[in-house]
Amino acid sequence: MNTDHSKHHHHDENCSCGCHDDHPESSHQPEQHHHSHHPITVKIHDTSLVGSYKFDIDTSFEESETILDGLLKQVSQQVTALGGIIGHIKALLNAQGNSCMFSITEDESDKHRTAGSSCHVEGVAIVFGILPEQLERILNKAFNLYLD
Amino acid sequence: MKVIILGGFLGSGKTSVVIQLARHVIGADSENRTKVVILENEIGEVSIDDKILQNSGYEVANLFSGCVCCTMAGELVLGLHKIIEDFNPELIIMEATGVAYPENIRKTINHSLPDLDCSITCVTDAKRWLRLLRPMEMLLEGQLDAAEVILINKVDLVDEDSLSKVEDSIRTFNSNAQFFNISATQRIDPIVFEAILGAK
Repeated sequence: MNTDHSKHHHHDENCSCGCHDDHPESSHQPEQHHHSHHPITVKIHDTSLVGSYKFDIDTSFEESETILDGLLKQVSQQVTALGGIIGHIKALLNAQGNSCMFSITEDESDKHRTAGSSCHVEGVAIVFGILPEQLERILNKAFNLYLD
Repeated sequence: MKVIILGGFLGSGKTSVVIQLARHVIGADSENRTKVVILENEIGEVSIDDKILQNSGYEVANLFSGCVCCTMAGELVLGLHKIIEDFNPELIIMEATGVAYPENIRKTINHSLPDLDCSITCVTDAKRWLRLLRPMEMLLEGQLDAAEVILINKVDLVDEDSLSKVEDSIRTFNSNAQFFNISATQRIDPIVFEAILGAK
C-alpha cells in the first residue's frame, strides 16, 4: 500500500505542475486534485512510514552540517520517545553558490573565490511503530525554521 | 549475465557493500566501468544513495519513490531491459530498499527475464540485530530466508558474546546460506565477494 498523507497543494485545470497532464478533462474533479508539493510528505509502505523532506539552510556548508546533524537527531529522539523504531534517517546536504571568477590577461591570472551561503537538504526518514500524523508533526516541527 | 540482489534491513550497510563489490569486479581499470551497473531502489520521494554511488564513479540506474519487490515490480523489469540494452553489463547489482523482500524481486526477474542468473545476498546489522529482532521479526525473516549469502556487518561494533548471540539468532532464519562477518567501513576480504559472485 502506498498512501499519501500530505495533501497540502490544491490543483485546478490551470495548474502548471504537470502531474495531471495525462488526465482526461472529464476527470478533473476538484476533490481529486489535491496532492503534495509540500517539502515534507509522509507515506505508508507496508508497516513502515516513509517521510521525505527537502529544504534549504541559508548558511555555510560547515554550519549547515552542524545544524542538520542536530535536526536529524531531534527527529530520531522524538520518534523513539513515542515508542517508534528508526529504520533510518538519511539526508544529503549540498552546498550551493560556491563560485570562482577567473581573470586572465597575457601574463597574469587571477582568481576570486566566493563561498556559498546556502545549502540544500534532501532526505528520507523511514520509521515504524508510530502514526503517519505523528511523523509528519515531528518532521514539520524539526524543520519548521527552514521550510518556505 | 548475473544479477546480485542485495537485500537487508534499513541501515544495515548495503550501499557500503555495493561500493566495495563494484570496485572488486571493476578493478583498477576504468575502461571496465560498464562491466557493472548498479540498480538502486529507494523508497523515499528523494533519492540519496544513487548520488553517493555516482560520485564513486559507477554506472547507476535509480528507481525511487517505491519498492520494486511490490509496488514497482513493473518498473524493475523495464529498468533491467534498459540496462541490458544500454550497457550489456556482466553484472547488475540490484540494491533493494531496506523494507524489500528480496525473494519477491527474484521471482519478478525470473518470471520476466528467465535467462538472468539471479542470486540473493543479505546484509545484517550486528549492532542493531537483537534490538530489531522482536518488532521487525517478520520482515527480517522474509529478507533472510532465501539468501544464498548472508553478511553480518558492523562486527567491529559488538563484543564477542553479543556477536555469537546475533549469529545464532540469524542462523535460525536461514541455516543454508554462506555466512561472513564483515565491517563494511573497512576493506572487505575478496573471499566474501567471490562467494557473492559465485552464489547460485
